[in-house]
Formats: sequence, C-alpha cells, structure tokens
Amino acid sequence: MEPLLEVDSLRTTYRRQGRTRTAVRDASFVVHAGEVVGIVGESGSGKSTALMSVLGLLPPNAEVVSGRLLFDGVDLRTAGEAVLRSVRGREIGLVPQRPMTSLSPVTRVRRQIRRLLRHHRSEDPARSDATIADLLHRVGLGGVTGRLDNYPHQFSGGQLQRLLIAIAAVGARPRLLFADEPTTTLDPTVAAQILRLLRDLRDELGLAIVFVSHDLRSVAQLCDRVYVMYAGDIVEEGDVRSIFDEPRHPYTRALLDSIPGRHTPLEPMPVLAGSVSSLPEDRRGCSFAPRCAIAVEVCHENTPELLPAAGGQVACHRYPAGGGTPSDLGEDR
Amino acid sequence: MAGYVVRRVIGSFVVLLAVATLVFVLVDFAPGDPARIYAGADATEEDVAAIRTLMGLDGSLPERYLTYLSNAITGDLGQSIFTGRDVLTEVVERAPATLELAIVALIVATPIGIALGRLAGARYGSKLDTAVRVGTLVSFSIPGFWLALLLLFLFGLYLPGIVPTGGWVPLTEDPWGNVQHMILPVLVLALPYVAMIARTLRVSMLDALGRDYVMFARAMSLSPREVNGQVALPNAIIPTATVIGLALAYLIGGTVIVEVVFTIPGIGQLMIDSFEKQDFPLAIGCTLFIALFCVVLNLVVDLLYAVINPRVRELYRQRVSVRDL
Ligand SMILES: Nc1ncnc2c1ncn2[C@@H]1O[C@H](COP(=O)(O)OP(=O)(O)OP(=O)(O)O)[C@@H](O)[C@H]1O
Ligand SMILES: [Mg+2]
Repeated sequence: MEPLLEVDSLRTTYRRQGRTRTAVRDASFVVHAGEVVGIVGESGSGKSTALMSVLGLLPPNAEVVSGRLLFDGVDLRTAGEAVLRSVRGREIGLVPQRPMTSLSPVTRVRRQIRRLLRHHRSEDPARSDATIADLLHRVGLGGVTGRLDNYPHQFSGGQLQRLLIAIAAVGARPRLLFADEPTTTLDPTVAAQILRLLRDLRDELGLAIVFVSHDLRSVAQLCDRVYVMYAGDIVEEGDVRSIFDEPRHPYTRALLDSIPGRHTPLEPMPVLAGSVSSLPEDRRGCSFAPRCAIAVEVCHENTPELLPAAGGQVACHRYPAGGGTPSDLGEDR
Repeated sequence: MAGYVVRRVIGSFVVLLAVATLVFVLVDFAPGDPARIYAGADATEEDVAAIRTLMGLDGSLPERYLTYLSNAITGDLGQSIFTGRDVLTEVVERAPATLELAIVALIVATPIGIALGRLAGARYGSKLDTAVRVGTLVSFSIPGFWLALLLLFLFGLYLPGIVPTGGWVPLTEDPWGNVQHMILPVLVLALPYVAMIARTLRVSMLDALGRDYVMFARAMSLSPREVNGQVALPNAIIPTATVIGLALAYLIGGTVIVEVVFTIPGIGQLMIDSFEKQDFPLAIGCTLFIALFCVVLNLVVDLLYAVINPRVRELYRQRVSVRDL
C-alpha cells in the first residue's frame, strides 16, 4: 500500500552565530494510513525538527537542505505555501511540544479555539459552544467548559495539553497527527487517558499518528512501529515488538535499559554517558560510536547505513556480525 | 480594579504635589524679585516693600508655600504679576490649543506607528522593513526645533500660501482654519512619536512571530494576515503600550517648542513667556497644568495597558502594582 507520508533523505540544518549545524541527517521514514508510528530518541536528536520540516513550520534560521517530503504523493518541500496551508491542520495536525506557550496569552481560550478551528469544519455549528463543549468532553476536559472565557495562564499544563489535542486532533480531524510528546507534561492517569483517546481516534477515524515521546512505556502501548533517532540519524526501525524484545542497535538497548523497572531494584540504573550535542559537525563514522560500549575501529571511521534486519532496519556495523544477543552485550559492559 | 484606580488617582495627586513643591522652591531660589519687577525701575524702596506685602511675598518660604497650597486647593493659583488676572483663568484660556495639539498628534501618530511597525516586523529583512528602519531612525534623530524651523522657512519663505506657518484659530470658530493651522505643528510633534512606536512594535512583532503560539496558529493553517493581525499583534502591542506611555513626556515637551516656533497661543508659549518675565505665579500655574496633563495621560495609558494585558489585570485583582513586577 502507498504510504500516507513518505519522508526520504530529509536533511535539515540550523544556522546559529554563523555556524551551521545539522539537526536531521538524511532521515527517511514512512507512515501508512491508520498507522501509529513512534519516534524515540533523547533530547536534541532532531525529532521535533523532522516533524516541523514536513509541515514547513521551521524557524527562519532553519533550512531543509535536501530530501523529499511526500504526503499523498505531493512533495511538500517544493509544493509552496498555498499547498502547505491546505495541508496544515486539515490533513496533518500538530500537537505541539510545549502546551504552556502554544496558545496566545492575551486572548480568551474560547476565542482561540474558534479562531484555530476557523479553517476546519466548514459547518458553522462546529464553532458553537455546544461543539466546543463536545471537543472538551472528548479529552476529559468537561470540567472546564465553564471557564473558557479565561486566559491560557489560568489553566494547568495538563489541561492546556488536552486542549491542544482537542483542537488539533478532535476538532480539525486531520488524516495524520503529529503528536510531539503529548503526554510528557501529564500525570500518569491523565497520560493513560490521552493514550486511550489517541487510540480511539485511530480506531474510529483511521487517524494515522506520529507519536514522539521519551516515554517508552507509552510508545510500547500505543505504537505499531518505532523509529529510533540519535543525533539526527535514524539508527533503528522496527515493529514495536521487535524494538522492545530484540533491540539491535546499542543505542536502542541503552534507551531500553534506562526504563525504570526493567532492572531489579538493587541494580543501579544505567546512565548513558555523554550527550548528543557534544558531537562535532564534521564527524566521521557512526554518531553513536563515542558513547558506544561495543564500538570497534570501523565504527569511528565509516558511517553505517540503515540496512534491513529481521522485522525492521538497523544502522550498525556490529550487526549482525558483532551484535550478538542482548545478554552478550550486558557482559561486554 | 476599582481599588487600583483609586490608588492611582491618589498617587497622581502626590506627584502633582511634588511638582508644585519643587517648582515653588526652585522659583524662590531664582534670581530676581517679582515685587521689584512689578514696581518698575524707578520705584522707591518703600513702594517695593509695600508691593511685596501686597503680593504676599513677605514671610518665610514655608509660610508662603503653605499659603499657596491652601489657596491652590480652593482653585486660587494667585494672579499674574503683569496682567493681574487670575492664573487659573489665563491657563484655562490657553489650554485648548495645547490640548488639541498634543491629542491630535497622539491620535495621528499612534495608528501610523502601529501600521508601520506591524508591517516592518512581519516582513523582517525586506526592503520595506529597511525603509521603515532607516526612515524612523532619521525622523527620531531630527531635533524637533530644527525640523520646525526648517518647515517654517520652507513654507513661510519659499512656498508661501500653502499652509499657515503660525498662529491658531479655535476649532469652534473656524474648523477648516483650525485644521490648516494644525498641519505643520502636528507633523513636527507626531514624527518622532511615530518613529518610536514603529520601532518598538517592529521588534516586538518579530519576537511574537517566533513564539510557539504563532507556530501553532500556523499549524492550524491560519493565513499570514490572521497570524500577524490576530495572534502576533495583540501580543506585540503590549510592550509598545508602555513606550506609548513613556513617550508622552516627549510629546508634551515637544508642544512647548512647537508652540514657540509656530506662535501658537498655548500653555507652552505662556510658560516660556512667564518664566522670561519672571511672572512666577503664572509660571508655576503653567508648570502645574503640564504636570497634570502628564499625570492624567499616564493614568489613562496604564489603565489601557491593563485592559489589553490580562495578566496585568489579574495582578490588579490581587492588589499588586505593576511597578512591583
Ligand atoms: N531554533 C533553533 N535554532 C538552532 N538550533 C536549534 C533550534 N531548534 C533546535 N535546534 C537544534 O537542533 C537539534 C534538534 O532539536 P529538536 O528540537 O529537533 O530535538 P528533539 O529531538 O525534538 O528534542 P526534545 O526531545 O528535547 O524535544 C538540537 O541540537 C537543537 O539544539
Ligand atoms: Mg522536540
């Protein structure tokens, strides 16, 4: 089946103080209709940048250097602003990463909901108070329908997060939803509620979702397929079972190891040394090599390619030859 | 909010009182003796002393100050040394020209400044932006008196008859004549004001356009027009409102210069005149009027600020002053 979204070799850079830094390095990913795709990776690995590149919503100092961004067969990179506007919200919805700052602080919430849904849902009653109340009930915000004439700062972070989901996912009814860490600001019960809502939307409306998260538990619960990003590269891809049960890339394993509860209580939690941002721009070799426990010489010399592996793809010189099983690696460390 | 208004009004009175005190003391230290001026050059010492008593200039500074204040509270600001008329009458007579000048300049400059700032900020880096940036820098840097003199020469000497270059007629007597007489003075007054508003707004537009709420609005496919006008501008206008308030001081200082150059019978001209002639009761009266005007305008701007900024309004509700922020 033709994918709904096909991102091919996307490269996005940021210019800052005269220096150019690559935030997404030739990343490719696909999303099929009705599919829930997870993108995981630590802070700064380029997850948000990749999503914003597709929507053409990057800040002025960013540039999509190369790549194809095929949505429904149309390349959004070259399509122009008019096409992008017709896609944004209506075809591809976005739940932005920072709910606290994503609504204008000087306008009442009710007005903003109406305004943001203005170009969606042509039936006018859609903007009536009753419909707005419906939206809010859908995300478990029934309790605040009486407070819609308040300003955003009078709501909690979790309430705003759900409000954004109500607007972008339920209100505008896109075919594809980019949910950029939609559960990180929520307490566990509300987060579970949101996950259920997203799954319901997928089941009822066939909504496809790209679910970006640090929270691997939510990813395991919600997603069909997962991409693992590291320093702008996609280092592993696979269906959710194989990612969680047989991770192949050492970075993926490190990520999984850092989930609390996957270890016995007495064992100290492993902490991945170093950070993404310490990488030099003109690096050679695998971007994870400096932090990798099983790196060999070739890892520092050549960039590994994303190659097919059972149930997915992986970019690692040590796979499958030197990769071994997860238990082998545990002893390596 | 009501409590806030009351507190601000009381605060305004305190400011006025401080201005009155300061002017009174400064005038007292100024060289020259009003009684001698009034008596004329060939008066005898006895005459001068008698006049001094008549004018209430005997007694210590605190005594005279308290007398002045208690009279002022009843609306009696004393009499002009030269005309003998009540200071309050003189000031009220001259007020319309100054008020009209300042208010018209404000009303003309604010929307133009907002329009320019919004355009330049939304099209940051474009030719239009550069034009606004350079244009406002130039108009902000030109001294008001110099521009006023330039226009005076231009329209008085080289292109006479197009617009009047001096004088004033009340709006109620001759509306069209009034408008014509306002053109050059308002131009001089409004230009730096437009520049100040435009430059501030340009920067805050630019800032607002980089915010998450603008990104989300764009993600919901709002048009650039909607994003600029409905999302970015209401946020960007807030810091600009502060500048509009602060710039009022410039505007009022500017009216003094403009009134003198274009011979407009307003408070500014009266004040300069009375200081020159050492007509101190009148000079103090003019100063107090200008202070009152500043204080009232500032109060209005602060209240408007609260209306456009919900977070400030909430602070008022919690009985916190903006000054504490
Ligand atoms: N506006 C910007 N200007 C310059 N560099 C930026 C900008 N935004 C992001 N970056 C850089 O691009 C890289 C990727 O950032 P991005 O926000 O896409 O990461 P992320 O994976 O979404 O991280 P997080 O999990 O923290 O949201 C980082 O190194 C970041 O410093
Ligand atoms: Mg992010």
